[in-house]
Amino acid sequence: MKKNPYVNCFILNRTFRKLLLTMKISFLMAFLTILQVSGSVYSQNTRLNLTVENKSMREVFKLIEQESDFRFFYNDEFNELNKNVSLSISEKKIDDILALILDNSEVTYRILENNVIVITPLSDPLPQPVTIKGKITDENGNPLPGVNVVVEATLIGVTSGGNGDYSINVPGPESVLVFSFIGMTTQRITVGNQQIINVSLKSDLAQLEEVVVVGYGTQKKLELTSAVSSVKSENFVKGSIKDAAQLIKGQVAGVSVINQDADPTGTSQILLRGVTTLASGTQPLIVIDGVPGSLNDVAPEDIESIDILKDGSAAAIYGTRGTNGVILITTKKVNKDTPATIEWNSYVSTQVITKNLEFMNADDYRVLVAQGKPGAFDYGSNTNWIDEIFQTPVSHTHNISMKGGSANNNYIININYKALQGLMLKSDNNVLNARIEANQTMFDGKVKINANIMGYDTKYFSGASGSSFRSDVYRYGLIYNPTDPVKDAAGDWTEHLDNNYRNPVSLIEETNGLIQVTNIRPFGTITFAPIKGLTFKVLGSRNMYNRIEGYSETFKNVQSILSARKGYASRSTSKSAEDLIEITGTYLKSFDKHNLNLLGGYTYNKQTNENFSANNYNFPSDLYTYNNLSLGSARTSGLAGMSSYKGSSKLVSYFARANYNYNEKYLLMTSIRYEGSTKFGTDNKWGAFPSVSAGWNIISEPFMENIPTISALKIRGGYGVTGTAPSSSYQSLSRLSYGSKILYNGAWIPVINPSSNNNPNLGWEKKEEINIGLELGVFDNRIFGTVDFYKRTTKNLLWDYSVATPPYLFSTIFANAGTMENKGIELQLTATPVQTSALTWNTTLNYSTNSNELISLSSDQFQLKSGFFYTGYTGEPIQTTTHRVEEGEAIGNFWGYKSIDIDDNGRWIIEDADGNPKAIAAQQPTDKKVLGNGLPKHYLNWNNSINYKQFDLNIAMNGAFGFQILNFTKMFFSVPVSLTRGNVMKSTYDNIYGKRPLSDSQELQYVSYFIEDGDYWKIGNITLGYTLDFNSGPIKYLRLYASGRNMFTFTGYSGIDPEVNSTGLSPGNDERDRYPNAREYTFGISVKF
Amino acid sequence: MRTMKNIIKTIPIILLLTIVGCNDLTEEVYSDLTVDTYKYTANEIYGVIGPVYSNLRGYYGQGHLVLDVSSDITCMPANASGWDDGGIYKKIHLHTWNSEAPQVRNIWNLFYRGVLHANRIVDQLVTNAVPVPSDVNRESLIAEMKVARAFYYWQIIDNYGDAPFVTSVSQELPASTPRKTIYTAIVADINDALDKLSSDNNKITYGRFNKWAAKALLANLYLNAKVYTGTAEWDKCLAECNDIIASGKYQLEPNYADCFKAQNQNSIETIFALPMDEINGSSVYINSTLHASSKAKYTLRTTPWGAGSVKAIPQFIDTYDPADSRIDDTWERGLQFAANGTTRLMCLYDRAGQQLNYTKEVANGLYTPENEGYRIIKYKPEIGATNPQNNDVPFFRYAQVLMMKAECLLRTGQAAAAADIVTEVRQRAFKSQPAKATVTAAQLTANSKYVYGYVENYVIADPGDQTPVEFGGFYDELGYEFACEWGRRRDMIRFGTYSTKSWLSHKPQGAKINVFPIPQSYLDANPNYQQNPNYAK
Repeated sequence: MKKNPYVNCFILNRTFRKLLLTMKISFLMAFLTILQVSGSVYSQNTRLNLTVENKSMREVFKLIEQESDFRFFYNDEFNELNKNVSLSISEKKIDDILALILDNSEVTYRILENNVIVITPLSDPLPQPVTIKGKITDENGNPLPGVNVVVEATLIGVTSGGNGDYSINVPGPESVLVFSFIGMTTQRITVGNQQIINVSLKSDLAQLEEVVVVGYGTQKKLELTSAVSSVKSENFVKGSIKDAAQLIKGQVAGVSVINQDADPTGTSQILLRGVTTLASGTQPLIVIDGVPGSLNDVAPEDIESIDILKDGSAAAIYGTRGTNGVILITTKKVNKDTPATIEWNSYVSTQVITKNLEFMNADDYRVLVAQGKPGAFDYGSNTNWIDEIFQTPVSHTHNISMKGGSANNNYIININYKALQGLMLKSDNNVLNARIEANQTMFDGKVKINANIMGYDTKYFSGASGSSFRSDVYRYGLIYNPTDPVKDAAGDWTEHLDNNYRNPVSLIEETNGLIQVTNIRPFGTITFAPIKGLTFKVLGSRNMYNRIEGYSETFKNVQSILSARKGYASRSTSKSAEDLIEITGTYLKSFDKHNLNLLGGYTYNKQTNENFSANNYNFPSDLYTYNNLSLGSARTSGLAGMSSYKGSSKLVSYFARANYNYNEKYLLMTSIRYEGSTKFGTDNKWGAFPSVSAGWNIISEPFMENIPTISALKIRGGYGVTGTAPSSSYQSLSRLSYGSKILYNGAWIPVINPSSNNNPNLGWEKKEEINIGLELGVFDNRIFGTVDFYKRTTKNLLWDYSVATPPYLFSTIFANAGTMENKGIELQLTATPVQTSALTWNTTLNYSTNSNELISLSSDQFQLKSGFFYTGYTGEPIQTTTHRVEEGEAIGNFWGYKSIDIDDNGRWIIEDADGNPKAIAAQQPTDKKVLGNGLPKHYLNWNNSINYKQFDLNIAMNGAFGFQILNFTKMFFSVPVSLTRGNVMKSTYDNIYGKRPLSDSQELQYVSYFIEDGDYWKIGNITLGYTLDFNSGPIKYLRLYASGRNMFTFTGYSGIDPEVNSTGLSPGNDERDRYPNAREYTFGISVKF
Repeated sequence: MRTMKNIIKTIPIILLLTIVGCNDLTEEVYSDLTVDTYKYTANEIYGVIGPVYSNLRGYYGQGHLVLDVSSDITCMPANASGWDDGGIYKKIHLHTWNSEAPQVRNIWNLFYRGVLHANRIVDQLVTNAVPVPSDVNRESLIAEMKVARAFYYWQIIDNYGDAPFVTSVSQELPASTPRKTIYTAIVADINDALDKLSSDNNKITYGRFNKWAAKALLANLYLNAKVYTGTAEWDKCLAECNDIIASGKYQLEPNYADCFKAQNQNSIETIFALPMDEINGSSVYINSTLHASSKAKYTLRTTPWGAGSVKAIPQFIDTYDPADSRIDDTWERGLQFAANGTTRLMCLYDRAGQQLNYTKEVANGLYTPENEGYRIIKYKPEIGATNPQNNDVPFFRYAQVLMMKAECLLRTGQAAAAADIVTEVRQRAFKSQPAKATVTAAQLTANSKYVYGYVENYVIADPGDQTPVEFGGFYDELGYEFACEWGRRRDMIRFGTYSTKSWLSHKPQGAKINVFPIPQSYLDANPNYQQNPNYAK
């Protein structure tokens, strides 16, 4: 008999299994359902031989089943079937045999077209059969072949054909048809009087059969043993999306996506399970279609799914780069026969600043002038400087996607163009993303070739050499004297000849700059499957990043005036190439109920970075901008600069993984990666990163059959080791450099001296993580919850540790020391509270909490004697650090003087080391204290999507709690002394501690008064869409939508936006020099042809 | 099918070859040199020893900010142009610094980096790790580096008292060594070195420690020996000064200003200089002292910061004889004009609309109107100068040797001979009234003309300690000759005024401030090290 391709998925379909359980019929029956699918009808005229002596009817049926293709279907509870019969027959038809067996019994039978014999009580005869026909499609109207259609509580079932059509005989109008398909929500429909039933199946994310992407392969979610979260495109955050991280903002417990400003060239910050490493930031490894890359590489519209390997046992297969977790991005694919389709998506957006800070306007300011406040001068005009440096941005994004072909041979082309404008004048970003993918299968399916080219080209205004905006422009916009005109009577910019106070409009207008980046990545794989279960795969990739910058200042630029030079221009260019070769082999084997999946591999990764830059000044004309560098005369006088650099690094690794499960009930996974990097000391180049994890699908145990409410229950746990490599090369080498020059014999000659405190013992930073998770689904997984507990211990932390001079020449050494621990809980709940034909409401709630402790700052190799170091910086003129990283404490502690009062002279009173009041002037370093912590303790996200008829509404809310923010703007500009440096905030002369304002002479101080609670709850994203259905014509689908991002914030924080930097070692610093955050409004259209 | 089998067979072999071939993890270095691979050539020996000197150039950017600004000569008040740096310079004027004062940390790091460079270079020379040209004496270079190290240690014990004393390449965290022990050791190092050093004074020794620069250093150590060790060494100081004078290698510049002018390299008066250069040099006073409008006076290619800040303390200016030309060679005063001499330079901030006029008076040391206070012009910029300037900084000059000799004579009861030397030094400053150049023994031994006292609203509100300054007349002479050459703090300590007198907004803060605290950053990094006792809490 021909094996049915849907056997596996059908058997495993949880819904159907539950159905069977409910009916309490023999498990064997399940097979029968499948057997019918082949459609080969066993003739009722077949003649059988049978001899039985005193056997139960039940046993007789089994005998018949053994002898024939007939299958019996009955309720096990019929006592009637225990009746013994004896008979001896030869060459009789089934009808005759059954007549004999059932003679004088309380039951009767009926033979259905598919060899199924249904035994029913005489009192409840089977009604007359009805034939139902129909078409099954997906949400977008594409026909779905291979869908299982079963009459509930019977074994009657068929499979839909190639165009989604089906036809089935059902016992009667009260029959219920069950439509099920992998990856789709199962639907039940009562037949009633209908003869044609068309069904549209919806994708089902919560299904355990869902396949998730894990390192170097995929796995059924049911078989996972570690904390892996998967977000499919239909659950992505909607609206105006800048990068892939924003798609999953708030979707995954334990993953924080932070957008602290509205710079159109910026990307999201990602923080996964707390700060686990000191030197290497918090950005997870991002892998796009198997190749490491960055958030910019792929257009968000081109992404099919994002899978996040959160815990160490999952990430360990990525070895040294897995400490911050791994984000696996999968682009849209063609998985089945797909006609040539085009999808077009466009949207237009605008922005406003989230919040305008209250500074003195010209009238307020003149009051201060009248009072004779030091530093206040009236220049006679009225200027709102923030208005002068802002624009009303209009951005538009267009995405066109084309695809077609079969599962084996297909193509996908995606073109994405973004023309973005930012809030600040001239601020923009133009990005073209493109991806072409082709797949081809050859030699009888033994060889599969995948070829891709993916890349982007971007260009944007550069307001400061090498970056998109000058960070202090916004500051000057806040503090420039509101009585100063933008331009004076002569038409020149008003400038005050001070190096720290500049006309913000002239800074933008008298600067020309353009940064252009082209990143192209051709990559492909050849997969070779010589025998069943064995696959070899070779992946090759080259990432080519090319960047060219141009920057120039005009003759009227303030720097030209200050330095008495005629213009300034610089050019710089860089190229980096990353080559990746990866060879993997996988072997899949199933025997009895044992399933084994083996993976082995090797990767070779080489990175090369090169750059060159030059500058010049004193040009004959500033009209050349940066395009004719040789015309400047500073070069000939030896004042122009030039630099170039080349560096490279290599990463080589061997890895292996084994997955084993017994009947998908008991799951086991173990892996190891042995990885070497050039960046370490000679004896420490290689490191081993093992993992082991196990899971138990409790739901599959027999005792669970009695609890039908529970549809999924799994417990899993794992341990894994990941690492961190330093970002720069050569730090273990004892390097020399030609530094400054000395005068010798009338000439200036360069001196040669060490470049850094070298550390030949530099080695791997390793993180060990334990993760325990529980998954629970109830009511057919309509409510599905996951809870994970983790503990991550990072050892041999890499950091540029402060060392004493003497004995060290330089003030820091890059070394391994220290241990840090992060513990946390993550809860994720998805539910569909309402599901009717008109209204569906899906909701996802997730919560995470993390606690961090730096256990020590010492290792065998290096000891940080003090047990702490300082980080974060206020910037001038306060010139102090903001945070202290200390043994026994959490990362993110603000460290400074605790202000408690104000004295009669309007000067701060701080709390001294012993807790007594002390005048600020008498401050000693020993008086400093922990003033708060900038890392949120709790994150809560709540996403809702509601579909009502053709409307869809998405509301994404996110919040962070239990942290503090250092309000730099207030610390610098809500203090009277700042009036000597420009404008101040309206709150400047407010009473401090309810007593009196600060004195005009109280110098700026970093005190706890400026640290505020940062707790917030944001209604971040609201999107309302309307989908028009087209039954005919070229347009298959059309959706219109309006979206708002960063809409409402509930917070006590007084700054622009409490969503401030939460990564790195100085979280919670809301800098005064920044790009402000914005609220964004979007209108878009999606069309599919 | 056979082909297929062959392919299957070859795959593992190809894989194996690839894997074996691609796991070499040696770093490829392109834009760096490494100690392991770099081969020094003999003729780059001056590049090898150079770091001790290039490092010292940083002193110019750091030294005056603590040493002179903490003295009774200059102050750095805030003003209406907004320049205040969070008040860190006010604390230097008020002597209310703590161990986190950035200036105190900066000079510490600068001095010890010099020491560590010297230790490393001595080690390289001793172990023959670097080749030396045939015409250069290796021992002479070692001696020179030890003197350079002694120079840095002199600065260290002068500023911090007891300190870590490291003389070899090591990564041990050092303990504290008494000031006196370091003093003794470096005096011995210099004495050992003298005969090995070049006795030439020429372009090759310029900016380096030759024999005479080493002796000038030694003389300075002896001059302050009483402060450092409790035992005066006037005779030893005198002997070193006499040697330098007797060598005939140096003489006074005929014009005082020529010692400091932009093209002052190889000045006949300079014994040891920090060579500076607008391309290869370091930062300078000009931007922190002059008003932005003064840019037009020198057609500067840089703009001084706001209204400028480093200002003469009026009480010091009042001690000058009006005929002393050094006042104009040291201070920028009065109504200011552009380079053409006629275009008036204007105030820009709180005195906007008025002509820029640097007035002597200063309201206080904390916040002043934009035009108040004389500004430093000792290292006068060339027309068209930028920051950095070309003016070399003479650290030891012949005039100082003469004045050290005079002080030794004065303190050893030979006041008349001292007066002769002081008169010799003064002569070039009183060309308009030569008679005024002459000073007498009595004048030198009299109290200082400096009217000490705490100032409020331009008048002395609290005179404070009025004990006469011993050899006050000579003390004043040091001020006229060496103002803004970073020695005033040391002179004040030697003459006992630094921790006792009041000037402008400063009041005495007790003897503890005669040394600076050990920087907090050092204490943090070396927890076995104790803060100087006076700063312990």
